[in-house]
Amino acid sequence: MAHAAHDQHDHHDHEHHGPPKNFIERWVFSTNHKDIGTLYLVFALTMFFIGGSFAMVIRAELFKPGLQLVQPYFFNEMTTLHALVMIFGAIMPAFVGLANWMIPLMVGAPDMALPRMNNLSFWLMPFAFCVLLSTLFMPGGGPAGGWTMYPPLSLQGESIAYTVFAVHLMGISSIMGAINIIATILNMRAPGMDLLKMPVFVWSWLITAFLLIAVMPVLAGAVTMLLTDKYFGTNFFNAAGGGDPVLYQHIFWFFGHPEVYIMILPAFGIVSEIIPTFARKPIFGYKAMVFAIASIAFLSFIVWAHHMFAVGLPMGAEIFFMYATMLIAVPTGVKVFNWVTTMWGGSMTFETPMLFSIAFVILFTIGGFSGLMLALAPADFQYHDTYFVVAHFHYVLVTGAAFAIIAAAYYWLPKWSGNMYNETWGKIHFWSSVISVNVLFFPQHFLGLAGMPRRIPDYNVAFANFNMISSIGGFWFGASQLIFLGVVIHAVFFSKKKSPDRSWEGAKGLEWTVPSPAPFHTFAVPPVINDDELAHGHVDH
Amino acid sequence: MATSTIDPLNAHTAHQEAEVQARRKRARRTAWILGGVALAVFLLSILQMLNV
Repeated sequence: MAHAAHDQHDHHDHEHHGPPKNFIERWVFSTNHKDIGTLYLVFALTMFFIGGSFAMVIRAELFKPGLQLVQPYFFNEMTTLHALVMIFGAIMPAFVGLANWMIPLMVGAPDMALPRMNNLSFWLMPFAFCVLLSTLFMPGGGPAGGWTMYPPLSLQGESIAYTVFAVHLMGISSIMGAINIIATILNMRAPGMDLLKMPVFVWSWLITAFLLIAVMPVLAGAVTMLLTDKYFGTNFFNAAGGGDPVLYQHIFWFFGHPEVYIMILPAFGIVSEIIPTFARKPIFGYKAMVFAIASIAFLSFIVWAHHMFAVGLPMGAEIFFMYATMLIAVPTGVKVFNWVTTMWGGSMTFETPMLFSIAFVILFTIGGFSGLMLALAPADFQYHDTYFVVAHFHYVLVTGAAFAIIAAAYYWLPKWSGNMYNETWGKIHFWSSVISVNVLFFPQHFLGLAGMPRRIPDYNVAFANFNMISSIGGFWFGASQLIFLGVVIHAVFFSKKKSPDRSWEGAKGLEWTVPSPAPFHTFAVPPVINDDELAHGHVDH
Repeated sequence: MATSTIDPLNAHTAHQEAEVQARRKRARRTAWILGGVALAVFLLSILQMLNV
């Protein structure tokens, strides 16, 4: 008790101060949710460019048929590490960064519930990725068996130990981050901020955090069993010893499918914040949106085997997983309908965050439709392991998750930095990205339907034209993201245009009541909640 | 907007002090429960495979 009281005095002493002057003290030992959020976002952007450079190698190799630039093993390392870096290093940390920055501001909390654990959650990530990427420089090379790490393929080579260790670190980081988010939302809301008055972004993260806690330990279990199979003589997945390699696929996808939703539910939350702001209307069907997110999260646990239709499941299982998967279209359709209906009749303007959000709604829906096609078990035998799958999940994860993160960055950058970004360059970035991303990924549908398998460095000449188009789109899309980097650097360090506290005319919520840039400490005194100020202050209970 | 009701960082009264302590206790309890669930899921995912 005495210790706790002492802590409070420490807080009191620092409360009116700004951030520590010492660079190390501020950034390495930070327990401030805004600084840790910034660290996550900078880390995610760095990994986005590292993972993107791997994608450039892949598209350069596939520019023409035949082996062009790299050895096949290195190509396989690139496909494997591109996925691991983008999923665990770019998309997920970016969402956690957004959560760190915005959730305390949105619910009126002074910080995250467990600030020191927050620091640890972040600092595990750079070490995890140093371990993972260091394998590229080791004798024998890095992991090359795909991000799914299916045995027995993934057990060839020694890098699996490093990969497993890195995955464990990422998993621990994600679980601690999720615990912190749940503890913050459930315990730190300002008086009067009822659960059903919370912004949809907060709701989406609350549900995502439960998903993380439920499935990240399953991935940890799966890769631990890989490790013991490789080094400790167990036979979990070794058929010769009585194990079953297909068992790994079941465990992996029990994690893997909810993981897909972990990467898209916060994106739903972001778009649900941005569209009402620029349509100048409250979101249509607030409660339906929340229940749709919860429904999608629940369904994500009972559809994992649709990734495994081709392994030889019993007919009853194929039918169950096919229909369960198709069922996800219902709550997803509710969300798309509600976004469109929010825009309907709204007084819309098309600033860059809104443009990315509208592109999200349209292009994510295309990814959803190709997902429905893949859900059909008989058809999946044709599509399985082809470029159709690659096209599908890139529409969901690039024009879905990544576009939402970019939209969020443009939307909240004025609040974070206190400066407005350059709208002209933002729009150039948008149009360049949205055209190039379709040049990049749309032809991959045709390649997949024609039978081009994924994860190969060489291909039949029949696939040459679409691959060349796709590669041109890839280089174009990659170059477009340098514009984004330039816009962000300009806005943070050089922009002369200051942002008002409420950066956007139609923006509602507690985060817009604090100054821009948001002070180092906010809501040290819990705000008095004014329902008119909240986006969802008048929801019927 | 910034009118105070409770100040968790500058708790001066016994009531406010108690409120802050209760909130901290709830946050810690939430963290321990969720951490326990995560650990249990990890162990169960391996233990049930031992029967294979």
